[in-house]
Amino acid sequence: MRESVTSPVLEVRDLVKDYVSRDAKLRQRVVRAVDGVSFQVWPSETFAIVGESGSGKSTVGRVILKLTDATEGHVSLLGEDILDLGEKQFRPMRRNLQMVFQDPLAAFDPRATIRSSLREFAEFGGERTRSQQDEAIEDAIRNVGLSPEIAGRRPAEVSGGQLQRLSVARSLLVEPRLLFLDEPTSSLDVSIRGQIVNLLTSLQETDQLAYLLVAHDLRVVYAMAHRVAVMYLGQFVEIGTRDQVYREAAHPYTRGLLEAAQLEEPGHVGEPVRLSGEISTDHLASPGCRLMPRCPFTEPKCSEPQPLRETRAGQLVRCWKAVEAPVSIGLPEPPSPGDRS
Amino acid sequence: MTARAMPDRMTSARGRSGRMVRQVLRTPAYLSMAIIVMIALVGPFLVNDPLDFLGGTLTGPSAEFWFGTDQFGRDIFARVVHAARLDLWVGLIAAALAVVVGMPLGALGAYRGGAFDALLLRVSESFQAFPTLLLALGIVAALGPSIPILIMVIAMVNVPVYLRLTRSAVKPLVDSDFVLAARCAGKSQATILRRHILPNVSEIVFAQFSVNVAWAIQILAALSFVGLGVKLPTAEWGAMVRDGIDYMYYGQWWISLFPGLAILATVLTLNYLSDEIRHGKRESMGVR
Repeated sequence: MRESVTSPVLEVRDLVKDYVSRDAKLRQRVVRAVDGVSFQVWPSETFAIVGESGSGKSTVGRVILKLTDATEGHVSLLGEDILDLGEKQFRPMRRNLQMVFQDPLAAFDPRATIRSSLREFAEFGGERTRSQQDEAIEDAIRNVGLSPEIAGRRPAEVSGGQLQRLSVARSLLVEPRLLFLDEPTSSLDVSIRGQIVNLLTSLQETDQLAYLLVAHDLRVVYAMAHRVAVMYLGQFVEIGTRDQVYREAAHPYTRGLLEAAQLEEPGHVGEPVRLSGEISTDHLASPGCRLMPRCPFTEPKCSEPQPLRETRAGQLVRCWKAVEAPVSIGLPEPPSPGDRS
Repeated sequence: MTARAMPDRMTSARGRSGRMVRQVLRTPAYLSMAIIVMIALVGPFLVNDPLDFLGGTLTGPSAEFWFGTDQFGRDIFARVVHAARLDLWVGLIAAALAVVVGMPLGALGAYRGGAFDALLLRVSESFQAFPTLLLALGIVAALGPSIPILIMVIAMVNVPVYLRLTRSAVKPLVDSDFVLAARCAGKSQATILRRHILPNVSEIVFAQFSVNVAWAIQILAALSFVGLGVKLPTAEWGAMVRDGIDYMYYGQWWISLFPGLAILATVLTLNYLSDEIRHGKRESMGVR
């Protein structure tokens, strides 16, 4: 466990994922859903990716779990490169990373009982005997705050919040190091969301779990994340600690999202930004900033390639103006490096 | 803790069989199917020998011979009852054979995708490009009619139906979250197919199965009707209808009518049954 403190659980470098489809005339159409994404997730850390639907954030998680193939890039899990592994070679490693789905009702086989759905995970690797499996299943259900009697029911006979708890319980049965949470609360009632967030947070503390959280609900992200990446059309446009992103957001898109969610923290800097229009893959072709058609600060220079650049310590932004001319987009002058404590 | 002692699938099986029993008692489709099956099973032991020349030739329906006698004085009622066994058997075995071949192929095609899937589709399309009956007719004419060959041919022309049906039912499940979850649990393709995908398409396939038995019976009857199926004097509904056609003109309607009604009743019942199965599925799925 000691080495795990010093090395990331997951390291993603320059990940690219293309979806190829054909239109009515059989012409190939390539949509780059993920375009050069890099990040690391450390033990006991929640790394969140936020963005609108269609930004490619769920695709990142699915590629990492090898539920779909990557086009390019590197993904290493506990130091081992996994993208080139075949399904069979990768299978034993699946125990290290698991997934919690958006819609728990879809994530359970409608015909199977909760117990047999959980057993699939309890029997991973064939290490537990049948009675040890039963015991592990009961413990897992208690661990998420439910009573083991629920195991005899079918998914349709369990409420959404309970089922999402069971989904978490199920993935923890293999004792993973990293959990990919794909919009874990967005199909739940608002009153239930807080419970799931609290459950996930407390499990993280006890099990030293790393979370890769993908969500569009900024409140849930705020409650759970340590670091946040904001994704737009396949690229990260801003990465920083939670407080940097929520209080000192520099990219117009991040600020637009916060404004739209009416989530400005009391201490947040900069003026509100209103984005126009909608996310559209039409803007994927642009070599420059992809937000140009929607951004109120657009200038000719924005159509030049925009690399991720550091504004404040540890905070990366894909916007030249935020770095070079913050005042022009309604941000205060950044403190010079060293001012920050 | 009683729940814990119970194996995973027991509770479900008990609940489902209870529902099935209630359904059988409630719906005419199951009832009428049960009657037809009973006639096919025990009927032949209770009626006259279907090949015996028992009475006067071409007598109409009477108290002694309910459906009358044919041109050789054979008891048409006895022949219709005996034929029920033969027609149902052929229909069942042919349809079952078609399921056994078509369902796994269709599921595999949907799951694998790619060239394998495309090949399966093209082959099944080329089968379906011919009218089923014409195709069956051609093959039987080439191979010569005998009961095993008839069963094989009827099964063969039905395989594409199951292949395509299963394929289209499996396709949306392949990318469903619960299948992805099973992959996360480290399950192999074969296990996922067997445990998650096939059980979830079984109702659709069984609803089709019932229609298909009916269809198989119709093909058998049609082949026999044109003389390429079961040979007389063996009692078979289609052959019997053909047998009586010539006498229709002279007013001896009963020779063809009763076997024809038997086909009609059986086919209608099987189709109705299929609707019921599909309906039952919708009810059991719509819990929430």
